[in-house]
Order: sequence, then structure tokens, then C-alpha cells
Amino acid sequence: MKKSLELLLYELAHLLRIKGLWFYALSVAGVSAAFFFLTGDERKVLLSLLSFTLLAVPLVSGFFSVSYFYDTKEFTEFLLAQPVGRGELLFARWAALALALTLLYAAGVAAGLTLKGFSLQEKAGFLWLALSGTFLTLSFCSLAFLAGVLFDDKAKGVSAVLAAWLYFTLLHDALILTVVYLFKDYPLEKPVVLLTLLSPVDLARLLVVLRLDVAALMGLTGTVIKELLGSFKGTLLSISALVLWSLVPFTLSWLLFRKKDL
Amino acid sequence: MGRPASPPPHAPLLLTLLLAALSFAQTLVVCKDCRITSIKKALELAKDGDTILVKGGTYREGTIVVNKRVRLVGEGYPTLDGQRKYEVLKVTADGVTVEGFRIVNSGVSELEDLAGLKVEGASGCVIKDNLFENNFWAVYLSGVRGCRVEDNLIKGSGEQSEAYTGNGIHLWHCERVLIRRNRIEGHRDGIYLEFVKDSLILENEARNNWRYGLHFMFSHGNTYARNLFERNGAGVAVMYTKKVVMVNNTFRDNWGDSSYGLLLKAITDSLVVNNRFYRNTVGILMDECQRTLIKENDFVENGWAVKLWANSANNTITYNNFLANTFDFATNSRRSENELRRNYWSAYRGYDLNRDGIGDVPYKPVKLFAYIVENNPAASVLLKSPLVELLNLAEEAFPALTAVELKDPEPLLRRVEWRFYE
Amino acid sequence: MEVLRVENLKKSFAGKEVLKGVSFSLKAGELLAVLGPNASGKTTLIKCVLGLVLPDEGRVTLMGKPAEGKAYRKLIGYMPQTPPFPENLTPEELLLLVSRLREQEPNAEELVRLFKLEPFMRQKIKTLSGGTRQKVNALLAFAFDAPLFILDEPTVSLDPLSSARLKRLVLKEKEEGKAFLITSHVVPEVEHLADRVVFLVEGKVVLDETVEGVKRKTGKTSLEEALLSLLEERA
Repeated sequence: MKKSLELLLYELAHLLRIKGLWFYALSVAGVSAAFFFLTGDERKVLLSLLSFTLLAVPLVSGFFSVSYFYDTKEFTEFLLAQPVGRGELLFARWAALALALTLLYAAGVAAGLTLKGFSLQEKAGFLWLALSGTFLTLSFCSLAFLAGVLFDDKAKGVSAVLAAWLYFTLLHDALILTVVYLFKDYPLEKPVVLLTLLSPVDLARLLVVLRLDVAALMGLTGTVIKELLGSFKGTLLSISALVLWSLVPFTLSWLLFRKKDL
Repeated sequence: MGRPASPPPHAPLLLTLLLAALSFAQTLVVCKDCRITSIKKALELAKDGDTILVKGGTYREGTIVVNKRVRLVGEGYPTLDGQRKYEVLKVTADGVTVEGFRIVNSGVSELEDLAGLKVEGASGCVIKDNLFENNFWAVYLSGVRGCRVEDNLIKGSGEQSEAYTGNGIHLWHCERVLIRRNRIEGHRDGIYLEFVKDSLILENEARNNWRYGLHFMFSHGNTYARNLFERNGAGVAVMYTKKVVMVNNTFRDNWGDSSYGLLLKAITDSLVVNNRFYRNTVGILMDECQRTLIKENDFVENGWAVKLWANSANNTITYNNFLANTFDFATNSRRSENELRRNYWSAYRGYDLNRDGIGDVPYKPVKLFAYIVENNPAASVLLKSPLVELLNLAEEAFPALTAVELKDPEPLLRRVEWRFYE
Repeated sequence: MEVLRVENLKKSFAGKEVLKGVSFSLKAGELLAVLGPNASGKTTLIKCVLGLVLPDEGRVTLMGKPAEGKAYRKLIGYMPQTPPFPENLTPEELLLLVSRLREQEPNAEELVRLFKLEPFMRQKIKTLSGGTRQKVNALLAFAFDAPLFILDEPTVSLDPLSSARLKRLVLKEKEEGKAFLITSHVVPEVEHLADRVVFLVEGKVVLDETVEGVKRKTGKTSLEEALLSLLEERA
């Protein structure tokens, strides 16, 4: 554990010196600031930032993590020739990546909002947005590591992550829409809620959307759905599902990595 | 626009009687240190046409029954306290004025509608400039004609239970009543009318009532103008009524699962003109609504600006502004027998090559996603999903995707200018 | 004293046999050169010794310990073929990191001086030339005391002078009783360093002999020629 922490700090030092990642933070800041300049309405800024987050955070986190995984393969081998456990090493690298990406994203949003002078009306909403961005980062870092461990070929690994991104941002929702359309004569709230649990992007989106007191204004009706996901229990359920999404793919990669030929 | 309450028949005769009464009229003063210390005593002593002037202080006299034609005037808002047991004031005589009182704590009963002030079967009453607090029902008019309820401030307990809060201003079988400039909050319904005719409801503000801001049924020929309905539990519901005129009202921030700015349920031959609908879950919900004109209204940032059920027909929706609503329109059928023409839609992306101010391609306000949500609310989990945003874009690019035929064949390119009379 | 023993090592990747039963051993103070053409299994062999690849059959023991666990790897100083370091760290930071991981104090000062690395210790790896990176690579391998050193193509991309310095360093360490496993495809590079040669062809050891022994057997004066004649004999 001590070595894990040591490795994590070095990894973090390295990552935070990558200019490309600061460009990510800067773009997030730029986008949030731009939203504020275009409209003074915080609710709209929040929703626009949510859309941006849902598209950009999984893409950047997933793509960067998987590329980084392959690009540092030799260093991984070098480190593993030292007295370090494979599990320790993988965990340290994953945690460092997730931490760096989360920090930079949060810093970006915060910087963008600072222009507004922190006189936020929708404080809670922005905090939920930050939480959902964090979970998206963690989930897609995890998926990237799983892809990295599963495929030795970089092209395959990167493609797998991009496919996961496409699936969770668009295709999974298309599946839900199809289910709703085909079985419109049945009570569908519960199956649909189950389906949303299967996508970290849906969960992250609903975490913010359901928290807004104006959810009804945006057309979110259906008491059952709100009860199932928006109540205290439901929030706990969706957060638990997001925790699983953040940890399970990584844990799988961790298990595989321990027995893998490098 | 409606007319003020018209003078009663036999006006000259009444006027003569009134003058005769006035010539003998006297003023009885009630206060703790006066000769008369109770309002009940003053009422015993009074004759028709007298004025009873009540000075500051708190009066706990059970139910005070006003059965003579008197002016009951409070000075310094004396408190009439029902002690949570009694109906506070009950008016049974014609031509009674109640003015300047603070009427609090009416009794609560499961059997009777106990009120702060009840007028029963009388005409010509004036209820003006009173404060009502914490009453079961506040102002309750039953079988009343030619009455004015003006400038009252009415606050209910806010408890969300039928057993503890009734309506703020409640009218039952009334005619020619003017309800004006009252502020009502914390009741069940702000203003409730049932079997009420030829009345004017003007410039009232109903906020934070836990059911409806305004609720009426079977009340034909009334006019509602320049009222504000804000943050009421389920908004405003009007039902089973003909010839309603609603002008210059504001419906704002009515949020909730089955909440709306304005529910038009079985409304026919009515006018909804020059109103503003801001940030309601549903701006107007039209259910069994016939031959109604919806014109020159602003629908701004509502969840749905208009929901139009298939059982509504022959309505005309024209020259309205639809601005930044999540969904402009929803309906539960593919066809619609209503006229939708020449509205301004902020979501319209068409062009106007001949520069006549009218878009060259029709606007289809029912989005595919809105249609799916309407038919199965479970789809609403996809709200704000990138897929749905993509779908909306695709619909604009490929009009064939649109699920519902309803369209505005002549969408306006510029916002409709109409004047809101403040 | 025997430091490393490799017994009957077999490994296949996706059905392709890469190591077909490799055995050899290495004593303290001995330098073994593993030679062989490309794709002969050198890299896999080294990875097996490092514990990065798990063999299908056979075993590797180092100072009597099986090739697993952290304590095992602390017995190895490893210099990979190409310096694999993250671009944004400095040699100093890397040295500190490896020191923390090995829980060993580095003996770096002399080495830094030897390779003239003083001006580069606090510069990011990405600003360093290929040669300098390779020196950092050597520094990180030799800075920590270990009974076995594994050097994978160590002199590639080093200038002749540094290459000579590295060789001198290797000889010095060898005299102190360290065992060396060196791979190379440039035979003359190892000719003067190696005590013994293991020649690997298609996953099999075709020769395990002292350098002198090879030359004697084939009657050639250079190791390269000797190996070539052996290969031709086999063909």
C-alpha cells in the first residue's frame, strides 16, 4: 500500500506535467465561461455544461487513459521488474489517472464559474454535476484499463474504448427508446430504470437532471421514475451503480493483469 | 372584457330607501373602554343603515351574526378571533359592509365549512381591506348576488390537508360578484367558484396555494383579467364551463408531476388572450376543449407550452409566442382537428425567401421524443440524453421522421408584439 | 556459487511455441551472453526470468528462490533495451522512485560522474538525447546493489566512449562477484565481456559453451565467425 501511494504520487506528478491535459482543463473552463457569457441563466448553463460533460468527459477520460496505458507499457514492465506488486502498480496508475482527470475537469468547471464570482443560485446543481463528471471519469478510466489489459494491440484497445463511448452515449439510449416504443402498452418504469443502471452515462445524466427542482419543467414526469431514481433511496441506488461502474471494470482488469504475460 | 356589476333592478326605489335610512343613520363605537364593549352588543343595538366602528383590540365573541344592514368598520385592524372553534363572522343581511378587520382562527370542522367570513343568501355586500389569517375557509360566499370582495389579504395555514385548509375565496351559486385585488396564499384553492355567473375576477394574486391558484366549475360567462397565479401546487384548473374570458393573466412557476399553468377541462366557446405562461410544467393543457380561441399569449420556458388532447377540437391557436419551451407541443394522437396558424416559434429554423414575415416551410411543433414520452412516460428517463438532442436535429433535417401531422403552416418569423396591461 | 538456474522453460503464445525447453545456469561472478537472431526467444526468456511472463512449463530459480514475489525481484538489477521512462519526470525523480520501490539507498554519485550525467539530473527525460537516456537507463540499473544484473542490448545507442565506460563498469561489478545476463545481437559487443555464451535458435539452446570453448571447437578466432560456422553446420 505504501508503494502504491508512492507510485501514485510520481504518476500524478508526471501526469500534471502533460500539457495536453491542461489543455483539457482549459477547454472545460473555456466552455463553461462561454456558456455563462452566452446566457446569464444558470439553469441553462448547468444544462449546457451537463450536455458537454456527458459527451466530452467519457471521451477524453477513456481515450486518454487507454492511450496512456499503451504508451507507458514499457515503463510498466520496467517498474514490474522492481520489487512492486502488479496489483499495487495497476491500482496506483489507475488512481493517479482518475485523480488527475477528475481534478482537471473540476478545476476547469470551477475556473469557468469563478468568472461568475461564485454567486451561484444553483450551487447544489453544480455540485451534482461535478459528482457526475467524477463518476464518468472514473468509469471510463476503468473501462480503458480493462480494454488495455484485454487487448495487447493498441489499435484494438483504443477502438474498444471508442466503441464503449459510442455505445453508452448513444446506442444504449437508442436501445431504451426502442424498448419503450415496442412495449408501449406495458408498464415500463421498472425495466427502464434497470436499463439505465446499465449505462454510466445515463446514470450520470439522471443524477443531475433528477436533482434539479425544475426537472418537471424539462418534462421529466412519471412519478415512478422519480421515486425509483430521484428519491433518497433512488439516489443511493444510482450512486451505488456508478460506484460499481467505476470499480468493477478496473477490478476485472486488476484480476486479469495479475496473471498476464507482459 | 366584462362589465362591472350592473345596478340592481328597481334602482330608483332602492335609492330612495337608502337615503331615508341614511338620514337616521348613527355610528356605534365598540372598544374595550367604550360604553359598548362587544360587537354582538352593538349589533343588537344597531338599526339598518347604522355604522359600527370597532377600535383596535382582540374580540373573542364566538360567531358574530350580522343580520342587519350595517357597515361594520374596523379601526386599526381589530382582531376577530374564532379561537379555532367558531365561524367568526356570518352575514345574512343584504347590503352589509365588512371593512378593516383582522379575522383569524376560524374553527375547523369535518361537517361544516366554517369560515372566517361567510355571507349566506345576501346581496350587495362589500368585503374590503381585511386581513384573513389561519382560517379554515377565509371568505365564503354562498347564494350571494351583487357583492364586492376587494383588497383583502388572505393567508391560510398552508397545511396540505383537506381537513385543515379550505379555499381562500370560495363562491357557491353566486352572481355578479367582483373579486378584485386580493392576495391569497396558503389555502387549498386560492379562488374557487362553482355555479357562479357574470362575475369579474380582476388583479388578484394567488400564490403558494397547495392545490389550485384558481379553480372553477360550471361557472359561465365570467371574466378573469390581470390576475397572477404563481407557484400553486397544480396551477389553475377551470372545468365544465362555457364562455370564459381570460385576459392578461400571468401563470408562473407552477411545477409538479401533474401541474399546469392552466388546465382547460371541458371548456367551450372561450377566449384565452394576452396571457403570459412562464416556467410551468405545462403552459395550457386542453382536455375536451372546444371552440376556444388562444391568441396573443406568451409561452416562455415551460416544460410543455401546450398539451392538446385528442378529444379537443375546433380550437384556434394563433399569434402566440412560443419561446424556449422544452417541448412546444404534445398530443396523444397523430391527427388533430384544431387550427394552428401564424404563431412565432423560437425553435423554428425555417427561412423566408419572399420576405413576407411568414416561414416558407411549416413548423411541426410535436417532436418525436415528446410524442413518445406522451404515450409512455417511462421514456422521460432519456431527457437531455445526447441521443434525444441528435434525434431533434435529425427531425429538422428529415421532416419525414415527424410522428404527428399537427403543424403550423404559416409560422411567423418575428415575435408577436402585444401589449400587457400592467 | 550458482545464482540463476533456468530449467526446461517452455512458453507458447497463441499456439506458437516461443521457448521449447530452455535450460542453463549462471554462477556468481560470471557473465552469460544470450545470443540469437531476431525472434529466437531472447526477449521471452528474459521476461520469464524477470517474472513478467509466466512459463507454461519449467522453472526459474534465483539464489534458490522461485521467480515470483517482490523479494525475488529485489535480487535483480534490470536495464531494458530502450529507456522506457515517462517523459515528464527527471532522472533524479526516477532514481528516488526506484529507491523507494526497492527500499534501497542508491549508490549513484560515482555513476553519475562516470556517465557525466550531472547537468541532466534535474531535466525532464523528454529534453534528453537518446544516448543520455540510455545512460540514465544504465544508472538506474547499476545504482542498486543486486546479485544478478540483466542487461538487454545495453550498448545500443551509446556513443563509443560511454559504451566503453559501461563495459568497464560491468567488468568491475563482475569482479565483485555479480552475475550478468546480457542479450545482444551484435556479437563482437559481448565477445570481450562474456565468459559463456548461450546461443538460442527458434526457442532452443543450440549452444551453451564458454567463449574460449566455442572458438576452440570451431577453430575460428572471432566469436562471430565461430557462431556463423556453427549455424551453417546445423543447416
